Amino acid sequence: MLLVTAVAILATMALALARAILGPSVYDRVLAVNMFGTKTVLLLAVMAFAVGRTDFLDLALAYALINFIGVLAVLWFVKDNQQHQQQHQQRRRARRDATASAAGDPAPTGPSHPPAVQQDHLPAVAEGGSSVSKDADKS
Amino acid sequence: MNGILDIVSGLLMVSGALFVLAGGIGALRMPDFYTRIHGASLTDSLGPVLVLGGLMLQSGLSLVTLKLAAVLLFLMITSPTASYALANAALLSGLRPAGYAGTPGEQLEKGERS
Amino acid sequence: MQAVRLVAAIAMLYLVWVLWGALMKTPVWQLGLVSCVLVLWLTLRMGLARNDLLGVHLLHRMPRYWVWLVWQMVLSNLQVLKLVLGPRSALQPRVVEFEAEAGSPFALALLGNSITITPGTLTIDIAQRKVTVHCLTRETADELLEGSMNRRIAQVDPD
Repeated sequence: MLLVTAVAILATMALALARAILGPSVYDRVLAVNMFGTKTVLLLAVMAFAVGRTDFLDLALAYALINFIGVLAVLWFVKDNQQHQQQHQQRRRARRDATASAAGDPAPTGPSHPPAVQQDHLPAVAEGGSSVSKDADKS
Repeated sequence: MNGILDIVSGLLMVSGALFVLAGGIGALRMPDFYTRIHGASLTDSLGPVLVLGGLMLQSGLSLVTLKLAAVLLFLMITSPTASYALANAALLSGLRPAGYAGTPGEQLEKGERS
Repeated sequence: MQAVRLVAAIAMLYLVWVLWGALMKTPVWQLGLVSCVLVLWLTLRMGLARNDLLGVHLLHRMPRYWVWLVWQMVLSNLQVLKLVLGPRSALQPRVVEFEAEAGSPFALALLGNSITITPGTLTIDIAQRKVTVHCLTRETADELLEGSMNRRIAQVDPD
């Protein structure tokens, strides 16, 4: 019975891996990785009994913790990265417009830009961090 | 007595494994992202309950049962939370499910009284 | 009151520490105590320990809800199992919105997680009291909008 269960869980892990390889969007892949992780926890618990070493259960709990935190961290990273890329594109577009319209006057765009980039960048990271923890609280 | 307990725990585990396997199949063959989460959540709800419940019956009253219960409780709290975080992140990034016209984070009009 | 809560938190953490390592080996209890205090300090420093998130005073009403929830899980699991193995044309994915009866953070968290953990329904957004749910079929959506889960959570957390 233990072995049947272990084989079924392993097959599910293989299916999750297939979804992670196929998955068209990043979120499909994160979903598959999350599933793979929770199935690992189950597999560890089953193997603890199959092998007769119940200290595997400690590993199962630690793995559950790491999997949860890891998935949240990846989601945070993806979200933050997307925001960052959008900001970057907007800034590049704005700069292109500025240079196109005011080609003769580089003074307002030139020196004011580097500090603006710095200030944009830091709050964006902090904001991403707090919003992830807010998600975790809320749900 | 012991034989019956073994049979029951084996049945629980195998039926749990069935749910887990069906969830894996669901996550692979559902048509779009949000329905795939439904498939994956099949592996996160009754599957662990049955598999870990079956293991608990095998171990009887001991420290191992307590640890299994703690693992189960932890999974039951974190897996829906992770699913929600994933779905919400996808929604906020602009991946809209079919038939959803609203804006995420916006309240209902009649909900204003709260 | 705050001190009582801090001591209770340390006691719980210490219990977990004992359960997870100290019963098998000879414990260095100072190490455990230091790590418990460290964890508590880090949690407070991150601002994650908010009073209203913990529904400890409601815990005595939870077992009845859990029994009901497990039964709902069995029903919806069998439903979704059929959908997953059946033809794709049986799927009618849709998004529904409704208002939660209980508005405390604990009740909203419980509601969102209960919806997500029963397969076939998935919470995708919670704003104030508005809960947005992705449903796999018309039946699961109708069952949710009928509102028995919502009412039961309002019974658990009546404010």
